[in-house]
Amino acid sequence: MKKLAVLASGEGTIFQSIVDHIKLGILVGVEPAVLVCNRPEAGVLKRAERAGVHAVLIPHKRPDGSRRDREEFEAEIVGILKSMGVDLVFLAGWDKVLGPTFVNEFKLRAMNVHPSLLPAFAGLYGLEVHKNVLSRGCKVSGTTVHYIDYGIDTGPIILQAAIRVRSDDTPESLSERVRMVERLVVPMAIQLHVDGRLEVKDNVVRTYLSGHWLDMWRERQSRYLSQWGLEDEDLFLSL
Amino acid sequence: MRICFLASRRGTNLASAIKHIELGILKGCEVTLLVTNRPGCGAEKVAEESGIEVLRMPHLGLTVAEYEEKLVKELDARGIDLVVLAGWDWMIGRRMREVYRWRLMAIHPSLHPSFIKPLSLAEEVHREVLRSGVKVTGCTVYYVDRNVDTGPIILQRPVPVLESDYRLYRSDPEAAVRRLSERVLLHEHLLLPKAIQLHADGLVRIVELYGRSIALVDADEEWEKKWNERQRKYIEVVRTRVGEREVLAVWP
Repeated sequence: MKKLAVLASGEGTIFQSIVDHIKLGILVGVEPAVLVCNRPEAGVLKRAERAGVHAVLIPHKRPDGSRRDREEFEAEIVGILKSMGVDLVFLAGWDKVLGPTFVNEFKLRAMNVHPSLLPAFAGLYGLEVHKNVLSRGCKVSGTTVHYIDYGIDTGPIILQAAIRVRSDDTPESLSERVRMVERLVVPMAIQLHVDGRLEVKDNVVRTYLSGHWLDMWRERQSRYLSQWGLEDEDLFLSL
Repeated sequence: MRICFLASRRGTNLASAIKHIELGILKGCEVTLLVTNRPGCGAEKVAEESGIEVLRMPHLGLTVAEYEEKLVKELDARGIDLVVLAGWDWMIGRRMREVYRWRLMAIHPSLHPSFIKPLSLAEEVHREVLRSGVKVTGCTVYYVDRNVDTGPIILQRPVPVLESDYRLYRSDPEAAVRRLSERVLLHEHLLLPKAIQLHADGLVRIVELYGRSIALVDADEEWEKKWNERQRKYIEVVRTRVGEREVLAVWP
């Protein structure tokens, strides 16, 4: 059983999706070992409590409000993850850039999800991404799951899914639909990794994916879809 | 609506637009002129076969301003309403952009704002795509704005980059580039006529948003439905021609 750590700073909808996929027996061979959060007010902490996932709060600020040294902050996270024997880290709406202290330790074992079709709109966070998508007048957006590397949103791409941008979209409504897609593709990326079906060469991810694997995955995931009443008519998924 | 194509290469987008008109899919439009800066290119043959006037205008020895002065005069004389750049490999200067503001449309083989390389050939764009390892690429139709490579996006369509493309890329990069290029082209051939129809129907609105011009498409579901029904005819024709099945059905 592989041990998964989730790093999150916000509401935790992606964290929730990972947990639900594991509970429903869709995402298999992996357990949520720990949730690491850097913000005491984040909703994801409550979700972890409800789901019975061990949560650790590691603020990026000191009690007096001043910023902590980044290396020390990252070393603390790495320390905790290593002590728990974590195999894979997922950054699910984590709002701090992680530097070499972290990346060296979890190279090709840490994934991030970015709410756009990279390389477009790299380096932005949260609603800023969708504001920029709309102000650029894009008609297609989407989401990208990738391994992290030393750059910002530059690591090898595992999965991308595209969605239509509607003419009446607001940053909020677009964000909502992108998040819905992320709830589907994030567990899939984790499963591919856990099953040893991803290999990275020259910054390109090679996916060993059979039709059989995909059919099985879709069949299992339909349980999640039916639970949430999600429709995928707007979704364009590419592997 | 009288349309002029500017093309330098094979002219497959021109051929697709002509086909859409022939089949009664693209309505209220006719391609009345092809301007090419590369005499003898494939686009020229496509136009000739359909009886479309061809204007050969090599740019050798001319500055952009001189060239466009001449071009605008020719277009004016023929009452051109819309200019479409499809596989045009030279500059578009200020004069053309001003005279044909929001009437100058171009197609690019990537999802803007990704992989915009000034004045690059499609192959260079796809090479960059394969080097980057993305799983989704696509094509974009836009109005040429401040420079030839960007402007308000009218339509976009995603296209998958497949694992088999990357496999091929490792053994034969140029073959992979050609394969991806062909796939994206099939989608371009669907997207450009749709953008032209939207333009002709007056359904593309330019608005200012956060200090920038963007294009909003006002087509309702009814319009989309009718268009898709009409375009199915073209897809049937293309399918039998190129025998490519997988890629045409993926985007609703």
